[in-house]
Amino acid sequence: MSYNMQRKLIIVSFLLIPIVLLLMLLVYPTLKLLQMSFTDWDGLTSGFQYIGFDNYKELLQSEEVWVSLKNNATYFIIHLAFIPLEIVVASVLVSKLRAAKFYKVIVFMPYIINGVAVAYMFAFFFSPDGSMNQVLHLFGLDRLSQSWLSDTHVVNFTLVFISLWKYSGLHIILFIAAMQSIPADYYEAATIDGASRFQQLRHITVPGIKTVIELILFLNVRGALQVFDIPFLVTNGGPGYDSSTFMVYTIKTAFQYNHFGLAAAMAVTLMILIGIVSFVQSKLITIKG
Amino acid sequence: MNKKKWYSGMVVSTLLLTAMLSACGQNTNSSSTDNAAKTNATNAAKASNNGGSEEKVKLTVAVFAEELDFWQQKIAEPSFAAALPNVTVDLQSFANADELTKTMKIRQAANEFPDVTYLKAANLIDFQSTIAPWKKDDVLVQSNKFVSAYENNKTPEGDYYGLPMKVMSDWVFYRKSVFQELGLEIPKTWQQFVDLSVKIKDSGKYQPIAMGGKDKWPVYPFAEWLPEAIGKSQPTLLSDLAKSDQPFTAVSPFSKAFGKFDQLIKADVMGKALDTSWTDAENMIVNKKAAMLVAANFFYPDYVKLGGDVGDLGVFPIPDVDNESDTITQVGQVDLFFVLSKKSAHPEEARKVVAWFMGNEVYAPYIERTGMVATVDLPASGTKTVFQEAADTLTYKQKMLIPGDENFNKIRNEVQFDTHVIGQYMLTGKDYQKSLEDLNEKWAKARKKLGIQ
Repeated sequence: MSYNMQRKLIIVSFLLIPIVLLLMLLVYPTLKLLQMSFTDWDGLTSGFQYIGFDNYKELLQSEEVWVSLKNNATYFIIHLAFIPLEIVVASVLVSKLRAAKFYKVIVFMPYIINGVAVAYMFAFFFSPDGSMNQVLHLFGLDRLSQSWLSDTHVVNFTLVFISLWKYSGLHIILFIAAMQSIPADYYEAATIDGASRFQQLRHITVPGIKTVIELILFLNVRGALQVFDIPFLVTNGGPGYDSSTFMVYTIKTAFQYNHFGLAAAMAVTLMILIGIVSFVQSKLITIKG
Repeated sequence: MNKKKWYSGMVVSTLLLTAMLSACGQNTNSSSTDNAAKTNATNAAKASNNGGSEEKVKLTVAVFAEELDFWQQKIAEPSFAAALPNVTVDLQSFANADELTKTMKIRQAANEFPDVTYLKAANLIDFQSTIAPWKKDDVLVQSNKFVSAYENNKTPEGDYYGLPMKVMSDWVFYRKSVFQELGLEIPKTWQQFVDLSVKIKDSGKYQPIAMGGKDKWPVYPFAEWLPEAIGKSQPTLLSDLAKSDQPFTAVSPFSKAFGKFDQLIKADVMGKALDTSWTDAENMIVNKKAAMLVAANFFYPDYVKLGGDVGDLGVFPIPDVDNESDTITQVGQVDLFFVLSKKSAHPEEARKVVAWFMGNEVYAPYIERTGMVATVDLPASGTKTVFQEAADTLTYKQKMLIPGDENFNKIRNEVQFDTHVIGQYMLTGKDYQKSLEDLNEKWAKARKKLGIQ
């Protein structure tokens, strides 16, 4: 067997297993999902009928879907608005701050705490007699006390706060990792040239971590549109559907109402939505040095 | 030439991998066969030692987490070994009925249905293709008092999909001492119930009704069962909904029931219901912060477990009527059915497990523990339960809640009909009439789309 032949044989045999796994676990289920989205399958019987784009039409007309998407938008916008702040926090933590390591641990800790524990912790924290209202009472701010988890005008902001608390740490740590890869010479040169800390942040740090910012922006779109654990565990989408998200509603559609076809259409729509929003976002937000 | 080599390389490597994988497969098969042979040999040896010839079988039984300790304890007792010497049970526990149903749907699709499971009445219809029906001449069926209460539990051959395991009814649980202190009497009409609640509120000492509205489902006595009580003339109220384009008009039982619930909400007698979970609500009545809690029998064991004063607890049926001369209708339902799998490798043993469970030695303490109504006659015990006391002293008649038929289920899934959601929205102050109008509109569209006449 020639060397070339051996080389190809090894490459092919090494690639075969991952490719087969990829086809089996990713490509095939995705195609199956796409196929299901055009059917009226109830998830219980073996038979189904093809109904064209009916599921997609139905989900566009569903009031609950739009309520859920509006709630997802709240997560997306607020998380997006906090990204600059996360960059600032990361830049502070990466500087020669006393006990920076301790702060980094504190910042990252919420992300590694079990999601269920976080949900229960905040369910108590925001309950009517919970710590939040107690703290407000302590400072004589009783008029700001709220039904944090049951007032339909407030509940989504409360849930977004929990989400921020949990996920900002991850963003900050990723930003820190990226910032540490920027050579210190740039900052020294900028300092000699008389650049302020803000100018350094704007013109060295931000362009230097551009790739990570783009990654975080994408993760934010994905995370905001797929948010599930927090609303599901804290409010179960309630009251009614007022804090439901697209994922919570998809799961209810599939498992509570045996509408697997429609749920599949929702999953496909979610994939398309993530693609569209990420694309639009990348066109709107450009980072220049 | 190069290309040819590349292709041949591909073919060779594919063949190699296939050979490797299939060899692995053969190995696995042969080893599992060996194991099976060994197990059979061991079983045969054991059986001959015991003087019997039955092989060892393992059954999967799905139960609720809160009952797991009871099952484990009873299986460990000698009566189980005596009844089923060759059976070991793999107990699989689920947090609640929703979790159980969700998992069973996945298991059904994957052909992994347990040998024995509980199912809720409304879900029997979803699992018909997987269920091994109970024969009509089975002694367990014939001794069951509730098996024929459900027309849709019947197979075309006259057998039954599920064996009713326990029955529950709706009750208003109340603290007798609060009623005595405030000089209150058990209400006989809805208005009296509302007035009584307002009186408790006015006393300033207790919250009248503990309502776990945060969890959504605890609104069911008002949002799901009260319509059944008001629609007492329609035995199959849910299935009847599927026969009309506008089933939620102002005169419908649902509209009337929601109107009554609305009256209670506007009287502000349930505190911060949306911030109260079911567990919070339970604790409120146990700790006498609330005077009443509306639920079914399942609350009673929780009350006992949480240390509530049993002697101070009374019950009365929800007074659904407007005139004292009318008889109150109490809604009841088979809480759970025992269901057997059609795909079970050991159907006879699976049936025997249920027979063992339904025997006096296990079933009587189970019923006592759960506070539910037994579906078979049990030997009379010396003490009267709080429910028996109420049955002896109060006047009311019972109506069994019959789950909807196939058409109803289709429409329900299509419009995502959930009375609990409407009830929870009502607690936020949302107008129920608007919800019902929207529902009427969706209902008509769904019937048309599904071709239901």
